[in-house]
Amino acid sequence: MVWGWSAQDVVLDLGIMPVGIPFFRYGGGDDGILPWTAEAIARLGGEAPVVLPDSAEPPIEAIAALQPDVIIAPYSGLTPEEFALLSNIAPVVAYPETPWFATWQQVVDLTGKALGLSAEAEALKQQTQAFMQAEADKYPAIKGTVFANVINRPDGSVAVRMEEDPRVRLLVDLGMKAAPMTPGGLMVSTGISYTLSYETFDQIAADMLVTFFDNQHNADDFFNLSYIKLAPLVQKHALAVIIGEEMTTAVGGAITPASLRWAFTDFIKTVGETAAVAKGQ
Amino acid sequence: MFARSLILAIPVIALALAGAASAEDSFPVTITTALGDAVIPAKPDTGRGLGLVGPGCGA
Repeated sequence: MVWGWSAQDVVLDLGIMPVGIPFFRYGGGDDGILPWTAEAIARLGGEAPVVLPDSAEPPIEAIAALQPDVIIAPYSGLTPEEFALLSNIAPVVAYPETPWFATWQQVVDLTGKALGLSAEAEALKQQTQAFMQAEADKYPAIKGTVFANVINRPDGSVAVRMEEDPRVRLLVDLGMKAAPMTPGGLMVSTGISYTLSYETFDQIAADMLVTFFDNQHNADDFFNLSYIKLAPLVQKHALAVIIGEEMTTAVGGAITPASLRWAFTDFIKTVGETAAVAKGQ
Repeated sequence: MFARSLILAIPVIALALAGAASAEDSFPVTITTALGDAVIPAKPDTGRGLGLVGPGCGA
């Protein structure tokens, strides 16, 4: 079974039906299953996985009841205590170094190794990278373009993801450059992003922004805020605005080969066209 | 949507081909993580038919 983000899609891509998957409250709809995951389950056929109860902590009893052979959780926030508890049920593949800090490539590698399917995992990785590169090559303006990955917060600030964040790496791997940390930013405890007040939003040193919103209404509200709408990048419309829980999860959250096949073509089109605007092309 | 369906279907085909040509990984396998080692004694789908599906869940 899998826990955390992303691994369920890799298991399915490798042709194996997981016994249990986590409930995705964001983007997963009423049944808690992300749309590309649901498509993969249907395509593979057979007994569908059990969707675990919606909880931030692993539901130990529900997981034990599934009697898994292995618990794959490389992109998760497991605590040492949770790891110890789960290890009594089955071997646990946790994160390589840091909670919530694994690239989609690492998730593929670790999942393939855990399943004894390393060659297939490598093929999946190569295939996904080739697909992404082919799509990105349609938009040469992205090369060297400096971007900031920005999320609005409900407390009068934004979160700006750092270069090390797997969601930022996605575009860096394709030739874009992550913006440097903005003076006045406050690092969050995870070390993968910093917060910035609306008042200093205009200080972000980037050619363009990549932003994510649940819906268009929230995006409109944000960009109509007085501090935000006067920022140079907003005035210039150097904004790649990604709308919707599913799209946000697919390319700005739990990134997987399956989510990329589902969303990357549209995502890189938006990013690429915005990069051209940013460069005055 | 048709094009997207094609894209979504490609991995299954390609990976099936890759799997046909690949050598089996050897077990037990040890995966080192930040929280400790995961020692997986045998390939998870051994004897279970549907891989990670356990008893009582349709396997």
